Amino acid sequence: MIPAHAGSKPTKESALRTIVRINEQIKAVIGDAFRVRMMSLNALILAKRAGQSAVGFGVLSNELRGFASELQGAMQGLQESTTGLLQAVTLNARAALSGRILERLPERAQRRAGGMLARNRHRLDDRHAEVVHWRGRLASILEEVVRTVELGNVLARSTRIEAVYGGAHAPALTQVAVEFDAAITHIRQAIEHLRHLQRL
Amino acid sequence: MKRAETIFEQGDHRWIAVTRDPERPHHLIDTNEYLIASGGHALLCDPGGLEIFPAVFAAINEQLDPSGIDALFASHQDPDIISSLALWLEFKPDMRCYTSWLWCGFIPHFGGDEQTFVPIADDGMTIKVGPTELRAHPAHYLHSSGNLHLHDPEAKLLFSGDVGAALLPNDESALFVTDFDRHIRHAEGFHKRWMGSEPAKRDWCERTAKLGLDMLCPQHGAIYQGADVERFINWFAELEIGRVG
Ligand SMILES: [Fe+2]
Ligand SMILES: [Fe+2]
Repeated sequence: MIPAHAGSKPTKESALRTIVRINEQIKAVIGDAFRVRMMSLNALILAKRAGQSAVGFGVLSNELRGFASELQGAMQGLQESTTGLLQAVTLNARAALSGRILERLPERAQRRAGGMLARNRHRLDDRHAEVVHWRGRLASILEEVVRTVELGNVLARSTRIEAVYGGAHAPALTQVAVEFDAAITHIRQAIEHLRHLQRL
Repeated sequence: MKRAETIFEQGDHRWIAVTRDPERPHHLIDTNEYLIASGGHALLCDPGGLEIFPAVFAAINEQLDPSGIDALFASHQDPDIISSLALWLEFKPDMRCYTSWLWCGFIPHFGGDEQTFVPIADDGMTIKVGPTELRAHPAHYLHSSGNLHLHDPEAKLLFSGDVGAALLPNDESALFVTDFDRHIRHAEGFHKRWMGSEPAKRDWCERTAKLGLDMLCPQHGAIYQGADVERFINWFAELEIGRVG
C-alpha cells in the first residue's frame, strides 16, 4: 500500500494530520474541564459541611466551577476554529492540486488557458488567506485559554492552602485540592501541546 | 503528449480524435476523447480524468480554440470519463455537461452546479452542435446502468464509450483497427468482465446495426471503420458476457 503522504515532503506533517491531532487535544481538555466542574460541585458540598472553617475553600471551589465552564466554552470556540481551518485547508489543497495539474500544460496551451490559470492563482491566494485567518483565530483563542488556565492554576493552588484551615475536615479538603491540582496540571500540559501543534 | 487527429471533415463539421498517450503514467488507463465541431461550436465526448487534463487540452489546442467548446458529453459516470470536469469548468464556467439523468446527482461530486448538467432521458435525446444534430443513443447497462453513446447521422459516426474498448499493449498505437482478429483479442476480456446485461447487449446490437455507421469510436483502443464496424457488432452479439474470470 502507498502511504497517503507519498510524494509530499516527508519532513513536514500534513496540515490535515495536524488538525486531527489538535482536535484530539481539544477533546481531552473538554473532558478535563468537565471533570473539574464535577469536582468543584463536590467541593462546594464538602465546604458547606465543614462550615465556617471552610468558607474560603467554598469561595475558591465556586470560582473553579466558573473557570471550568469558561474553559469549556473557549474549547468549543477552538473546535469551531479547527472546523473552519479544516474546511480552508481542504479547499486550499484542492486548488493546489488543480494548480499542479495546470502547470503541466505546455507553453502554447498555457497561453490559451491564461484566464483559467489566473483564476486558479486567485483562488489559491484566497484559500491561503482563509487558512491564515483560521490559524490566527485558533492562535488568539488559544492565548486567551492560556490566561484562563493560569487563573485556574492559581485557584487550584489556593485551595490547597485553604484546605489546611479546614479543621477536622482538612484531610478531606486537601484530598480534593490535590485532585484539582492534578486536573489543572493535566490541562496545562494539553494546552502546551496544543500551542506546539498550532505552530506547526 | 496526446495526439489530436481529424477523423471526419465536411465543411466545418469535424470529428477530432484525441488518442493514446504513450507518455502517460502507466497506472492510468489510456483513453480517447472525441471533439465534434460544427458551425463554430464544439462538444467534447468523455473529456477524461483529472490527471490527463493538460494532455487533452493541449492536444485540442493544436487543432482549434478550446474556447469554442460549449458542452461536454459524459457517456457515464466513471472517473476516466469525467473526473476532469472541475478543470473544464475552471476554463469555461458556463460549459454544459450532457449525461444520463441517473448520474446528475453523482457527477457533481467532480464539480459543477445546477446550471452545469443537462439530464438525458433513458430513451436518449437530440443534442445540437451548431447546425449539426447529434443523437444520444441508449446503451444502458453497457457497462454502466445509465449509459449513452453519441450518434452523428450526418457523419455516420458513433461514439461508443466503453463498448468496443480494447486494452492494447503500450507499443500498439495505431488510430484504426487494421487486423480485426488480432485486435479483438485485446477487447474480449474487457467486454466479458465489464459488460453485464445480455438483453441490453442484444438490443444495442440490433439498434446499432441499423445505423449504417462508417466508424465506431470507443473510449479505449483503436477505432473500427468500414466492414470492421459490422464485424465488431456481430462479434459482440455472439460474445458471452457478465462473467468473472
Ligand atoms: Fe466505464
Ligand atoms: Fe472507460
